[in-house]
Amino acid sequence: MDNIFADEEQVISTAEDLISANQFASDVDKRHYQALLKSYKNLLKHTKRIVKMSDIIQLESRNLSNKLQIASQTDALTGLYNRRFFNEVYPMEWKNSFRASTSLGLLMIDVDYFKKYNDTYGHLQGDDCLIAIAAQIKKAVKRPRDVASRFGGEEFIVLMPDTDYRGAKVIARRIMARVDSLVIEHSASAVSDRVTVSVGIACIIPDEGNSMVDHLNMVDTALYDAKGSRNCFRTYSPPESSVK
Amino acid sequence: MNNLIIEKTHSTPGIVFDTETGVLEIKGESFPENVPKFYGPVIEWIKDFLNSTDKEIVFNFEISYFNSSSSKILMNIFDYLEQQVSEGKNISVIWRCDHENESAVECGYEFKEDLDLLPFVVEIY
Repeated sequence: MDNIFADEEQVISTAEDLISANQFASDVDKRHYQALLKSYKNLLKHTKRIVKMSDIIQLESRNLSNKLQIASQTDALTGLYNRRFFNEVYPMEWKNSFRASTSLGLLMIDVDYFKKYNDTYGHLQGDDCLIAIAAQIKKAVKRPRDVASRFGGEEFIVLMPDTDYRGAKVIARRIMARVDSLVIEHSASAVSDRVTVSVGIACIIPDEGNSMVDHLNMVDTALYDAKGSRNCFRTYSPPESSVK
Repeated sequence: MNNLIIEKTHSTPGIVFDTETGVLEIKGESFPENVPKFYGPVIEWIKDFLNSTDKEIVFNFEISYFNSSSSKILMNIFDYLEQQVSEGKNISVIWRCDHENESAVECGYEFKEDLDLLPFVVEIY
């Protein structure tokens, strides 16, 4: 057997033979054609069945592929986007902002004294704390193009196209207020009796003279500044030596 | 007549056809690169065996995933078995599938729908 459609081809070949034999004695013809018709109907039934089964399997593959795509973009613990998704979206938004000469905003959020929180309340409660904070970040970030992701550990990052420092500060305040309103007890914190966050803010209009790495370093520096005091936000300010 | 035993691979099912017991098992996934090449000898073996015996034969199919070419071959096999039953042979088919494998379950019922004489049971575990 070298062809899975050998039966179909045999039917066609028989039909061709019959026609070229040019013997159309009525009763014989009738039986021949009835037999051919029966065979071909059965083979056609096969073909239809194959198509139907392929459709079933393709639909399942499609659904599975959608689920995988969502899973590959989502942080399993918090349900926010994950860092991989951020890494996909950030370059696209960078290019968009570059073309439109608009300000691209980043917020980097870190949970204050989170290691101490874990040490005090245990890792399971630490996970619950991250889940609760992530939910508040998600609620605070409302525009469809804004992307809130878990950056790693207790760090979150929010990407906000078309956002300058004024707008970014509004979101930072909103996140801090929402986290504060959770009133999650944190007896080991040096700045509050409840869980708080520090937020770094960096906004930039992408151009030939800057890069995504610069932008990420800026927001990292701003977060570092905020963590000097904790439970606050800080905008990026260039180091003294680079101020012209 | 010798038993037919083919080891399972990542793209072809394992086959254990035991002439003593009359139980013929095909188990695994089926998406061979060359479907006729894989199934050709299997079908030949089935034909030879059925020609040589009148004992009760049970086919156990447990194929969790198969491509379109394999489904065509399976239908050819079922048609052949149906014809054998019409000629008086005692043959039945059990299509086994995991309850979580909805495609395999649905396809089992698709195969069953075309068969009038061949006993075909979809067994979900």
